[in-house]
Order: sequence, then structure tokens, then C-alpha cells
Amino acid sequence: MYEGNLEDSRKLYLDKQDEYSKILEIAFEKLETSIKRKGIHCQIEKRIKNVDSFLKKILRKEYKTPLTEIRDQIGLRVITHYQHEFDKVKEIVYEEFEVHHHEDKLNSLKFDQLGYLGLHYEVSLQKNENELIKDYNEHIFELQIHTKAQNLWANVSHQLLYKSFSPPSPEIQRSIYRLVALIEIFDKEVNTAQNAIINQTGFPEVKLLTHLESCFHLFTWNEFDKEFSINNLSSLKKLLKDEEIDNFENLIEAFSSENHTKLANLFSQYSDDKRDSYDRLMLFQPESLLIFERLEMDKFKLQELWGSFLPLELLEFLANIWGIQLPNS
Amino acid sequence: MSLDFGTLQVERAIIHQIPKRLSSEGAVALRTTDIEIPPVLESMNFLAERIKESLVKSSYSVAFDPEPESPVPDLISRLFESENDDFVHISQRIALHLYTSQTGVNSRGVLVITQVKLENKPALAILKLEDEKGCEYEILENNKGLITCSLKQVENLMLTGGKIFKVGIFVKESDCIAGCISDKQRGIKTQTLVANFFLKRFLGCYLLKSPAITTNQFIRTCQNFINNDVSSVELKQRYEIALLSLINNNNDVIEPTNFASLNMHVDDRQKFIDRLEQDEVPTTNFEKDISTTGNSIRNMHVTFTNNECTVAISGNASSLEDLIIEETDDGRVKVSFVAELDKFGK
Repeated sequence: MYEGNLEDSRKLYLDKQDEYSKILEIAFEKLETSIKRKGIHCQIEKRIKNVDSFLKKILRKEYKTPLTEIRDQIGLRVITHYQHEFDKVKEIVYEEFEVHHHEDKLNSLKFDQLGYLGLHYEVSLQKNENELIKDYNEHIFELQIHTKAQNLWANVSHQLLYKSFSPPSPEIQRSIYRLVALIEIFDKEVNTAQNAIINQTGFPEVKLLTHLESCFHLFTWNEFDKEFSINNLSSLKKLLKDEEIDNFENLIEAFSSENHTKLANLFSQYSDDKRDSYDRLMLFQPESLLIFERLEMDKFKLQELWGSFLPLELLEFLANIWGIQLPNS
Repeated sequence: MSLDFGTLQVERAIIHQIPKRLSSEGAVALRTTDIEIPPVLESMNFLAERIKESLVKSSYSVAFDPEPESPVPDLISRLFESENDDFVHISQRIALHLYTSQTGVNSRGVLVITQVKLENKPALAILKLEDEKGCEYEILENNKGLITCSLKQVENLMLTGGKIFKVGIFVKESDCIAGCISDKQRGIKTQTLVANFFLKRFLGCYLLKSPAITTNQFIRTCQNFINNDVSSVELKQRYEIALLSLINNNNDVIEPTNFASLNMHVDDRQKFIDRLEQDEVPTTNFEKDISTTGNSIRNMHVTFTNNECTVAISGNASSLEDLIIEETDDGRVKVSFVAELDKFGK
């Protein structure tokens, strides 16, 4: 049983709210900026534990110094589309935060066990950020990485298990285990299917688009027409040599990185441009990155090919804003 | 100087109407604009697109004349020193200078002065549009008596009526101000005076590299490209003839991109443009001046191994149509042509 004064803990916790909010904002911004820079399409959730949950946790787990022992007062969760994106997010966590503890929930389960999955980190802001927060003394908080499916399970299981008054019956437990197994299978199958699609012969366009999309999201979150992209890439890929297709990820990453400021400015200049004109149609398609790259590499071959699949005005617009003169323009 | 015009972003713009100046007595008083156009994204992008369009086609590096007739160099320098507060005032002084420098020969038009960023550096772009079709202008006056001019008029002029469009752009570098101009009339022999008016009298600048030097550099790079980078004898012949034709034809402007596109094999076009860039020869259109181009380069020389034999054919491209250079089965080259014999030797 908790031996401290619950009212004191409540007041102390409420006094900390401003500090927690600042830490949460700084952490969220760092995470969001880095995630955008790496072109990962994901969702970030943030929350400060409400006082009610905090007090209940004290009572449940009998902490002696709850403010320091409980580490999920501040929580951030990165929700990715695919499991293979975890590696990139992990890199960000280590680059942007001090990591005190980490746990891959899968590793804590035996082969015959099923349960809650995802990566959990206990982190704090980096030392040089301390001065941004008055009286800050290295507050440790929780950062989780989940896939969409794992997140769904985390939310549903919370509703199912924490809100039940008595332990679930064996029958309910079994149905819950079936669901957990399904979540794990779902993520694995999605990953396998995605890899298979990317590597499938006859679908190099999908592979190109996957890499383009990743770089495209460095600059904009605009929605684009996937089918249109695939059609365009089926023509544009003719301009690439076999080794360029094999090494496409590096090629497009290097181009995006060398031209980062120029691309960021262009996408920002045009993102809210409401002029009624169709010539900007291609800019907010991920393949615009490849078009800019080819304009620099060989504008002649690009122009020669272009007429076979799209109106020339679309290329002329991109060439003009990129600062390239096309023949006979 | 090579500037990446793709990085250009317009931040502020003001439009001044420049009426036709009939004579000193009958001059329409210039009413300069007091208010910038609203800095909405669409307007700024529209202007950026038009400026880029002009500069990517043709741009000449310029520098301020050390003893300029024009106050513009000094006004631009002051604008880069000040904290933007003088933008409107300085633009009015530039407009006034243009108006007072013009004579009845010049059409009326508009002057658009824009504060821009180029390669992330502060820059100023001046656009001069002449209106040959007599578009109607509207001057808007607010309740404080301040005058503004809408971008709509400039859009109409650029997209329909305005045929003459000149741009000068000046970038603040760490230790100097770099400049470029684009002017469709530059290079057209009958328009030299008008082009020089814009460059010298109005902007107070001079071309950093004379057209004669640029033309020579272009020819030299082109010749080196043919000799060193092209292996096919047939293509060497085709490019050589194209170069001779370019030198000797009546066009006043050299258009490197179109030259490559029209005359070269698709695999050689970009390589040729890259070679020009490496040699710091303009890849955009520029004025042709062959006045200092030596006769030797205006004629064709085919030099065989060890200089054992040189065949020189002088004349214009049309007389070279009968010239055939072909590779024989044993790897040697056969040169043949048909012409009326005048004499042997020089």
C-alpha cells in the first residue's frame, strides 16, 4: 500500500504541468522535424498523463518517489505504416535524445507467448536543451514506436483489459490471444507483401516510386495520384540505365540532399499557390524529383521522350521553375 | 558568373507606369507608384516565373560602370545597404530616371521592381516592359491619395500585348554586386541602340565579356568537342558543317541548346552543353560577333595523321554540301567534294 501523502503527490504533479508541456513540445518538434527530414510518412501522438491516471498508478504500483519513478508522465508515440520503417525512426531517437533504456517488446516475449509489441524507449532531452526549460533536471519520459496495427492493438487492449473489473475468463483470454497473433501476422505479411511487390519483376515503377515518395515527403506532405505516378514512371524509367535503377535510392537521395534548399523553397512556394493552371500538375507528384534530376542530367533525352506520354507544357513549367532552358523554348 | 535562376524567389514588388515622353514641353507628368503590390504567393510566383523564363533563355553577365551615366548602380547599392525601408522610394527614383532618360522613340510601358532572393542571397530584379499595342492602364488611388498599380495590367502586358521584355538582376555577393541582364533585342543588329539604352543609359552597366570573345570561346569549345569527344567520323563531319553554317549564317544570335538539339546526335547533345559549362562558355542564347574570328576557323580543315596532308575548304556552308567524309573498310578516311577548279595553292 502506498505510504506517502496522495494529496502532496497530486499537488506536486500539477505544479509540474508547465514543465512537462515545454518538454513535450520540444520533444515533439524535434521528432517531427527529423521524421520529415528523413521522409518517413507516419503519425506522431503526444500526451501528458492526466492527474487521475498518475494517482491511480501510484496506488497500483506502490512507488516511493512517484515523480521520478514513473516515467510515462510524458509520452510520445510514433506510428509508422510499416515495420521496416522502425530502423529509420530508431536512428532518429538516438540522434535526437538521450536514451536511458530501451526495450523491444517482442524480445521480452518467449516464442510461445503473445503480447503487446512495439519499441519502447525511456529518453530525456539532450543536455544542451536543458537551458530552454527553467529548473529543468533531466526529466525522463517515454517514447514508443508502433506500426498502425500495433497501435490499434495497444488502444483496443487498453480499453479491454484495464477497464474490466475482474480478470477475463479463459474464453475471452483466448479470443484476445487470437487477436494479438493476428496483429503480429498482419505486420509481417504486410512487410513481406511490400517487399515482394517492390522486387517483383515488371514492377520497377513501384520500387522507383517507393524511393521517390520517401524523398518527396522531405519537402511536402501533399497527397498525390499514385496511379498517375506509376504511369509516368513507366515512361521515365526508360531514361535510366540498369545500374541507375539498381542504385535508384542512392541516386535520388543524393540529388535531394544536394538540392535540399532549392527543392524545399520550390515546394513551399507552390504549395499554397491557388492559380487555376494545370501546368503545375506534375510538381506535386513524387516523380517531379526524378524530372528535375533528369533535367540536369540530360534535358534533351527527357524532352524527346516527354512528348510520347505527356503534354510538353508540363515539362516546360518544371524546366522553367528549375532554371533550365529547353530546346526551342 | 553562373547563377542558378531556379532558386529565384520574389519577395516584394512595385509597379510603375512609364508614359511615353513626347517632348520636354508636352511630357505627361510621371506619377510614380507609392504602394507595393500585395505580397500574395500567386503574384510573387507569377513574377518569378516570368523573370526565370527570360533569364534561362538568355543572360549576359554585367558589372556596374565605374563612371556611370545612370544613378541606378548607386541606388541599387543603397538598397542593399538599407534595411528595406527605402524600397519604394528607391524604386521611384529608378522609375524617374527611366522616364527622364527616354525620348519620343521609346514606347510607353511599365517598370516592375522586385526584391528577390537568388541562391538565398538578397537580390533585386528590374523588369522593363514596353507596350506596343497601347493597353489601357488603370491607376488606383486610395483615400490617402497614394497610388498603386495592379499586377493584372502587367499580366496582360506580359501574356498578350507586351512584346519587349527586358530584365536586369543584381545579387549582393559578400564583396560585390553581381549582375545579369536578359534582353531579346540584344544581338539584333537593328536594335543595338535600344539594347544599349537599357544596358548603359538606364542600368549604368557594361557587359563583362564582349560578344566577340564569347563567340570565339564558343567556336573553340565546339571545335575541341568535335575533335576530342566525338569518335564517329560521320558525326564529326556533320557537326563541323553545322558549326561552319552557324558561323557563316545571317543569324545575329547563337543558341547553344538549339544548336545541339538541331545538329547533334541525341547522345552528344547534353555532353556538348556540359562541355560548354566546363569551359565557362554561356549555354544560354547570346549575341554572335564573328568580327575577330580568324579565317582559319571560318573555313574547314581536315588534317590527316602526322600532318601528312591537310585539306582546307573555305566558303560558306552551302558550298560544302557536296563534301563527303567517310570511313573506308580499312579504317582510313575518304574526303571527297565537287567544286569548280580555280587554282591550286594559296
